[in-house]
Amino acid sequence: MNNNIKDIFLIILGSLLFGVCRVLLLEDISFIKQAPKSISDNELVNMQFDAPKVVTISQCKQMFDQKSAFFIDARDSLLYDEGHILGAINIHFESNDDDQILSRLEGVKENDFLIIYCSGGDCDLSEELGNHLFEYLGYRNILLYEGGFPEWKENGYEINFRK
Amino acid sequence: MRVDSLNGKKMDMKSILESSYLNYIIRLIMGIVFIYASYSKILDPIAFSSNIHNFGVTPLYIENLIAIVLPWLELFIGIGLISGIKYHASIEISIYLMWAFIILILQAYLRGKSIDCGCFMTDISPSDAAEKRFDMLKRIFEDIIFLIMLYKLKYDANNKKTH
Repeated sequence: MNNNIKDIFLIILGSLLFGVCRVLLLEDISFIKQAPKSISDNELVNMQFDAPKVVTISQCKQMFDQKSAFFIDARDSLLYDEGHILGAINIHFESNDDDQILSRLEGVKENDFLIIYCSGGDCDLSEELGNHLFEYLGYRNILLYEGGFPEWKENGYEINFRK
Repeated sequence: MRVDSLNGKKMDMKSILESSYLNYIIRLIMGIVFIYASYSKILDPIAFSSNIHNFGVTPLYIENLIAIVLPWLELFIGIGLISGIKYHASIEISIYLMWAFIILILQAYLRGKSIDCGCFMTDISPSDAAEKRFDMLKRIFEDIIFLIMLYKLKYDANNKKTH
């Protein structure tokens, strides 16, 4: 039995060793994921972020009032129709290809602030869309609003819905 | 129930289950399954990493560790099951992995997620959400069958009937 545990440990250690060697050989190590970082109010004026950043509800509300950012709703169209942040553009990542995404973002410049949100909690649609816009479509100022639509609505901020 | 054996003698179901031929076939099947599963993950860790991320249960550093270690672990236990090198340890790890896969896919299914499990990444994944969810159920069923096969190997290995 002791030998068995030793062997299990050996196999796992060997896998770790080979895995690390594989990572060192790879040129693209983007699969090593990092959590998006929060951004301070001072940094919000800087352009060209190095990665999508996380914003708080107060930062969102401020940019909403100043009309200094475009809001993007990353949920599916049914949820969007039931209610969304006023003026938000609906882009559901899974059901849109790049051409459709770009056509929805017509008039949005690459340096404009884009605040992307979904349903809050463990919803990662906004993060997936944000990473895609940042890495493949050239949008440099991606902000992720993790509280999402439920938090916005709870605070009684401006919403809109389609009947 | 009576079935003709390979060498022409009559054998009943009990002796088939106890025969070492059956164990060799199971070892071969499970070995190929694990090696096949590891192959595309080793080649494309980036896609595999996204798949783990979709399950949304582990913190990022665990996701990264799994993306690095799991493909090689699957390869080594696949080789172990077929060749007999570190045989007992390979069976133990396979059983732990299979339980982990079942629990992971099941919890994602119960939480209403429709995701690619990333089990065999060379598969063409269904694009429709309902099809994806059906695919998840199929994977759980498949893993339960694999688990039963592995427990048979473990039982026989412990009783020194084979190997």
